[in-house]
Amino acid sequence: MNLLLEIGLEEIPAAYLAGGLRELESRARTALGEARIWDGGILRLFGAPRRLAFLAEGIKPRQDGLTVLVKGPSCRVGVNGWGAVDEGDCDGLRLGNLPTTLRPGKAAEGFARGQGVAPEELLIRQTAAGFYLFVGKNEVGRETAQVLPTLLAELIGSLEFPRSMRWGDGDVRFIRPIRWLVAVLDGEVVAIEAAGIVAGSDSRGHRTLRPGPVAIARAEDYPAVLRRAFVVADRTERREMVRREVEEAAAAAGGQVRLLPDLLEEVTDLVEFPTAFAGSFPGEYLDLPEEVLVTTMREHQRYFPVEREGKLLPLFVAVRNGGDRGMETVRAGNEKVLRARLADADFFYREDRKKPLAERVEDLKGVLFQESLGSMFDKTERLVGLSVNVGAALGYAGEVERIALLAKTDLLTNVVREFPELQGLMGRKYAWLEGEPPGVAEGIFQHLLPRHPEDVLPDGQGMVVALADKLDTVAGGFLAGLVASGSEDPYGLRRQGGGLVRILAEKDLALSLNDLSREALDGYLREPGASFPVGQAEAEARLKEFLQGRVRGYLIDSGYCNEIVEAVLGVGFDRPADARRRAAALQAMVDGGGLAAVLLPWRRAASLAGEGPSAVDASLLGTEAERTLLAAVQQGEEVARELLPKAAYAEYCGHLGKLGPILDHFFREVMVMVEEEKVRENRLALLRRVAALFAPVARWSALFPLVEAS
Amino acid sequence: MPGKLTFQAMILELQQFWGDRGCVLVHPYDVEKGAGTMNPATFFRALGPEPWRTAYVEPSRRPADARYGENPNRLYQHHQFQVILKPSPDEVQELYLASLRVLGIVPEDHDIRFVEDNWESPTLGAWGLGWEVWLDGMEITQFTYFQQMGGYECRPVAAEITYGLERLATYIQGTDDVFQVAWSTDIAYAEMFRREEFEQSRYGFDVADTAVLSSLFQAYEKEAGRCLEDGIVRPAFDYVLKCSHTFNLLEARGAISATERTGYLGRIRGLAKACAGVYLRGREQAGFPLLTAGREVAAE
Repeated sequence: MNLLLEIGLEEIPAAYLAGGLRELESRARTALGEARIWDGGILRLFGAPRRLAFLAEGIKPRQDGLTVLVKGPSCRVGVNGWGAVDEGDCDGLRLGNLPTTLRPGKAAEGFARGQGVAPEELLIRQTAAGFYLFVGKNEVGRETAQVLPTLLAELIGSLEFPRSMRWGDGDVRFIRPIRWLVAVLDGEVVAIEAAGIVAGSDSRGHRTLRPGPVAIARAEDYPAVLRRAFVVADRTERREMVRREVEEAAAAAGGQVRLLPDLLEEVTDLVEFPTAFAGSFPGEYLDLPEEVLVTTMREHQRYFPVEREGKLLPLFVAVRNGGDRGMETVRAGNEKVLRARLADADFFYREDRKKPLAERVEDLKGVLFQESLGSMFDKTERLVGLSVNVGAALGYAGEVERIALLAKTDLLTNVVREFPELQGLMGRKYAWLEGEPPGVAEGIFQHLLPRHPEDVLPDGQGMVVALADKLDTVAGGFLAGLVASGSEDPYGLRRQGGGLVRILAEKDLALSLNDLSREALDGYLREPGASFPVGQAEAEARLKEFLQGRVRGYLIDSGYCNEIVEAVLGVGFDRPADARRRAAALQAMVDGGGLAAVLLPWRRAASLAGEGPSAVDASLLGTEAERTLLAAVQQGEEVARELLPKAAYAEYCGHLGKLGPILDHFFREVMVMVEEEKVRENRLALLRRVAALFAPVARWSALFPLVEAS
Repeated sequence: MPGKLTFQAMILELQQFWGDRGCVLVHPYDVEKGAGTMNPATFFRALGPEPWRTAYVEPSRRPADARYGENPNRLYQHHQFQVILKPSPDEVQELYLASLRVLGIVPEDHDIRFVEDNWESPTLGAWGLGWEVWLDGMEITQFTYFQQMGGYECRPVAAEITYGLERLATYIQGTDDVFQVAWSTDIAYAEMFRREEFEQSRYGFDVADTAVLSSLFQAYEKEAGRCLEDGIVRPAFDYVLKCSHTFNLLEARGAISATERTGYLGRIRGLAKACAGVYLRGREQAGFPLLTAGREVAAE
């Protein structure tokens, strides 16, 4: 059978529609499966601004039966003669099938009577607590039509959204008010009530193209019936329709649409029936920076820009929710709005040009950085100091100070106030127009990178300020007690911390998080009279823990398995670049298949070695296997002196790999724990030297699961 | 089709439409404010269990948006047409769309969309979820389901519909410049407000004495507190509104630093919340009269 549930809503925010469908899918799969009316399989999802729906195929007319076991007394108590048999032979048997030496006792008879079965019907099952008697009860499945009303009502009630609301005088919370429900099993309405609404078979079509009820006679008809009512309910189909429509509209107007992927998704969820059209704006606005033009079209109006050979044309493509009726009015209206928006943007841009960024530094006193951390001016002062120091450590001087000084000034420009996402881009633009050196202009933009985990990384002097900016924000966040919890990151601390670690690791910068953190905290604390919600020691400790979490997150996101990450962090996370190199070296050992050959002998060596002196007396080494190992260790120590300062872990691990067979040979030939103390201690010292060679790379014990699994 | 409704005809049409649907027609509240939500007919009536329907025009002052009367779209003062329906009826969107028809806007001939836009007022301790309504790409209305007002949960929930009259008028009258809008058949918007815009801009940006404004803010704040102590919540709220407007002037003048800003907002919000509490207790003591006596008001 086919089951359709449609939740009819007032317009769902476009940003939540796809997520809402995922939520509906997972809850529906669980609920239908747990109710034993569906074995999984095809579950089609439909979502448009006014509806969330699913169509499940292969619903069973009746629930699967279920055998429930009711636990009774233990066999020891309930079965006479139990102690005399091999218990394992009895597992799963009925009491009636047991050897005659075993008879139900009083407790078993009482239990059977209470459950309404003969004592012979009791089952013996092994549990964690020993052998027990059970009654197996067959629960007959109910008809699906009887199960569904409660199931669907609870399903609707269980849906969770990032932000929900109440409406009218009800107490129900949902993403937006629920206005109708359709619940149909094949051709029959399922009698459910949720949010004060009784479900029926009437859906609704497009708000203006097909007002009034639209009957869904059979569940599987849903998409086709809605399509005739001017609703393309399948998201993927609708997105492809939008894509085709905007491409054709742009082509007809003589250009090519710039198909911004996020915008395509958003527009798809702003319409139930898409029709694209092209419009134009006065060509004089093409003098505005492209960022401003595109952002005005996209953020304010959800229009697609139109270009030819990469250059913008004075055209846009918009997608209307509806058909062709009144298209000229719709086009003219949209053109009018865009004209006004561009006039505004043009005004802002011209105003911004009247005051250079360099003259805006003082005005940063009027922009809040964070409540208990002062203004962006305060931040800029710290940023300059920290950038200069970080730059010195990395060998950058020159323009770092200037970049840091101007980095935040574009926050004061009208264009960035209007379009916060243009921060950095406008800073670069204005700095360049104002004759700042190209490196300064570029640095202003780069200091914000990476803006998200997939973003490009900054480079050169911009990178220095990017590091300093993130450090300052994170350190300040911990002084202010803005601790991120759960999956929320309201102050962006995780994003900033993640960016910091990513830059250090991928740009292979040999800087220490500890040193950097301390310096960043100092920037706040050395202010005379500085006082913060969280004390220095606590902030420093939490910051350290937080940064370790970011390094862990970075390694996990880079695709390393938990074992490698734990092994790497076990040695230290202070230098993310170092951690990344160690992780890569370990990964190479795993990929090359050489890990087990090293890890197992190392385990023996490390577990024997323990603490103690590591001076080896060569004259006491009586066998060839010992002498070979000592030679290999001495060679390894030389290699370590050469490679470890360069953090050349891949090469170093290659050398460690060679130790595996030598150690193996040693353990086969040599008995370590001999009676004679001098010989024994000498051999242990040798093994300590072995362990010391491994120690700088990883906490190797964390890698055992990788070897044992294979 | 009345394609060229004047500004005042639009107001008359909307008043007639919503008056016919059980709304109490009140008039602009005579204290400066930034939005129609601050009118006591919304702020207070959204609180508590009693039903309420009202509609009114509200001149709304936004000192920071002022442009000396030189910008065709941005104004120091614009007019909101505000509708409150409490509890929000099931067919609230349909009612709204029907109201557009009386303005000559036939939904079938246009692209009308409800685009997510949530609302929060840091001064009123209020927030809600809803949309901005787009007419052929232009935002013409804010549509909000109040979730909280003055720090109190809204039960039942009121729907607030706020039409931006200037936006609608430029659209209906087919002009790009608000000053060319016909207020009446004889008088243009420019004649009504151009000079007003200039003078208010001049005051807000250039003339306002920030020391005086700061001391006014403190005086208003103190007076609001005194009224609250005496349990007279309506005069208290008047002074809260004055605080809010004075704060807006100080901010437009650039006299409030980033760190001070939150403090100011918190002080106003604290007073607004106290007003909400006193108002609610008063209605409760009166037995929430509209729950019974006012039924005919709530009915369709």
